[in-house]
Amino acid sequence: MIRVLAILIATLPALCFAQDTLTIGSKRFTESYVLGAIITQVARDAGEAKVVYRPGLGNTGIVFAALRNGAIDLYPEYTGTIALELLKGKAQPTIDDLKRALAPLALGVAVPFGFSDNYALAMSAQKAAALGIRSISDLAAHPDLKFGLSQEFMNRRDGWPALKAAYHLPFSPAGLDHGLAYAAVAAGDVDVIDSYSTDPQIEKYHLRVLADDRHFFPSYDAVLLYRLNVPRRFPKTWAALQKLAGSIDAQQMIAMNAAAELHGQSFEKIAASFVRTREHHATAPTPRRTPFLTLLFGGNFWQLTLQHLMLVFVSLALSIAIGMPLGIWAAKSPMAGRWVLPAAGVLQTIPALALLAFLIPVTHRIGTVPAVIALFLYALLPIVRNTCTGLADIAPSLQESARALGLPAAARLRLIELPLAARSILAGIKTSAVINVGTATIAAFIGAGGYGERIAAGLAVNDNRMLLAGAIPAAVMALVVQGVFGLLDRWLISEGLRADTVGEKA
Amino acid sequence: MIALENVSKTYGNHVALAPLTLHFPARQTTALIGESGSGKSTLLRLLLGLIVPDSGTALFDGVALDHSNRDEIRHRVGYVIQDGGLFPHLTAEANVTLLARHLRRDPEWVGGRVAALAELVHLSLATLRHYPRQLSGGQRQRVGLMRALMLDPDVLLLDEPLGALDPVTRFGLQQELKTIFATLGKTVVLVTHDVGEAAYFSDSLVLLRGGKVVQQGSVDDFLERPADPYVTQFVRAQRGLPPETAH
Repeated sequence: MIRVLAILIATLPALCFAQDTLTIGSKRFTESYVLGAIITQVARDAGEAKVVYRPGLGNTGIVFAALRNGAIDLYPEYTGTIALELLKGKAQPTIDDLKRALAPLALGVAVPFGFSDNYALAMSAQKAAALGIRSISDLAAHPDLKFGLSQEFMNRRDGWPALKAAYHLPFSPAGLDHGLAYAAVAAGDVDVIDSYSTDPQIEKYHLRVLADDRHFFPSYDAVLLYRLNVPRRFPKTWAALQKLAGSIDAQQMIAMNAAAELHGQSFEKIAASFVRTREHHATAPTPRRTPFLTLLFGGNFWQLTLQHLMLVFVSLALSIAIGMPLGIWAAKSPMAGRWVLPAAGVLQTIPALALLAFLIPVTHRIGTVPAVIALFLYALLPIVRNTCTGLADIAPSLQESARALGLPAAARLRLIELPLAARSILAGIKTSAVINVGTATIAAFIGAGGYGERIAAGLAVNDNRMLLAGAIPAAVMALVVQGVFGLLDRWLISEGLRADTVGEKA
Repeated sequence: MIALENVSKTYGNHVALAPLTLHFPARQTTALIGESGSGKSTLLRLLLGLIVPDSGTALFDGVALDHSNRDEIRHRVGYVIQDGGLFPHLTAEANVTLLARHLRRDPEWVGGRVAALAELVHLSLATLRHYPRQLSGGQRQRVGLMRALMLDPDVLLLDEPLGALDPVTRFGLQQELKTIFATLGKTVVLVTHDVGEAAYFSDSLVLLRGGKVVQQGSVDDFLERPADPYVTQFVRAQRGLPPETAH
């Protein structure tokens, strides 16, 4: 067990710093997944570089940070987003403007795919007709309307705050995951949502896209945002990617988004069929649902399982290595006891996604390293606490017997105190392991892989089957971990401590 | 052999031991008697360095007990508490041999010593393979005694060793212990609140009250030359059987 963990820790750096690798990212919504899969496919077909794909990275801030510090080399982005959100510059730049602005960051834009995906506000066509709403300006007359906007849109400079000011809108919207927004508007839970002009759901849910009568939204042309050293490092791959320029029009993009969101096709399949039929101009892929079991065990199931186990157990090993000494210290020194446990408790209260996002600039990485650090911090508390209480709960008469024998402190700890506290300590480690299996699913938001990748993708495209294909194995893994610790308990805990006479006062 | 010189111990406002001096004669059994809270157990713990006195010193063979020689002196003292104080995660035998193994004594010597002690306290080697929770109270106490005697200490300290046992077991073990003490010829200090038990075992008695020594002497001294009315009161507090049921 310990040896396996040691090997995992030893190979960790190798996993992170593999050389001569082109790393492609994508953001956490359907279209970005589709474009990311297409770019990855084309790059792999070029046969030059080892291509790593990190799909579904958090939000714009996370993926842009990853690009700037070289954790990824390129990803699909939109000109409007680059100008306003990332460069804080003017609203309607040309590609050349962007190139000039990005050059000092050693970044560039290229390969306009041939369509734009503009922000828009949408509402039920029926309700819009009933209220006589045709444009965004018309909304101001109906202050009772409920807005449900994606977190990213609500907080972007070019998003809600600017829109509200430009149109003098009186609403205070609620935050809503974009994958859920259409279902919410269809159910009547919200009236107005933000949408993208290439969303296939607009048609499916009979929504009306409100006219931008004051021309507020800039143009969002889909392009590649890349590190300037990519063409030099991978000339052949770069040439192949250049050919993607102008290859996708808005109708095609809507069709591909529909294949993913409405027909449950995998992004890889959509990308493959796009690349295959590019010469003959792609038509919408034939919609066919994958059986759930294929979805569950197919594709990268074992790779995700391995990643998930690695995340859980490498972080757990670190937590044990640091947490047990801290727990012993807290039990032995009243001064340490006063701050070690509260400090570990505070760590537990930091929201997982916030901690992950914070660790990216600190570690200059995305993926495994910040994820393992975050999981390590979360796993500390149960181990520290149970080590401390396990030691503190040893009957005073037993502690005195150990001292009276004339055993030095280190020997007392090793021969008597730790074995007596073993049950409590093991229970703490079990709690940490089970929590880690669950928390590790969030690590997918920063590209650390694991089952969370499916959950993030399922959430992004509002695909419950995809979501379950990630959630079910994670739940099963948690149960298996629980069971394994039950066996460890039988193995490691002295027979003399079992049965109901545990903690007997001598 | 062992002695306390001017030791005192206070817990907050409570005086556990007023400054007192006591010498325990070598190769004799001394019983510490007194009510609960009179300072008997505190005194025993001071002799082992389990608590540090506010003033004064504990002496072992004329050497003051301190931080540096504490563990070494403990290796020469056997300590038995109520119900044995056995470690529940170790078998009886592992409890007995724990210290010897830690000190890397020759395994053959350890095995021989275990066999001899098992015979002394009337335990079978099969019983020693059990965990403490699988043993009776009397067996646990015998194992506790074996553990205390393992390194053949010069001194044996016993804190209410028979306090948790039923009367029949207790009666039997009292007889055995007396024989063992007589055979081994060790310096024994025994804490008990039972005057009869103290008189049965001991060459001399020490009566404590409120952290002070009321009287030190033989049973005869206590009965015939009480230093204080409290001595007589304490000795008489022992209830005999009512005459009508004694027939």
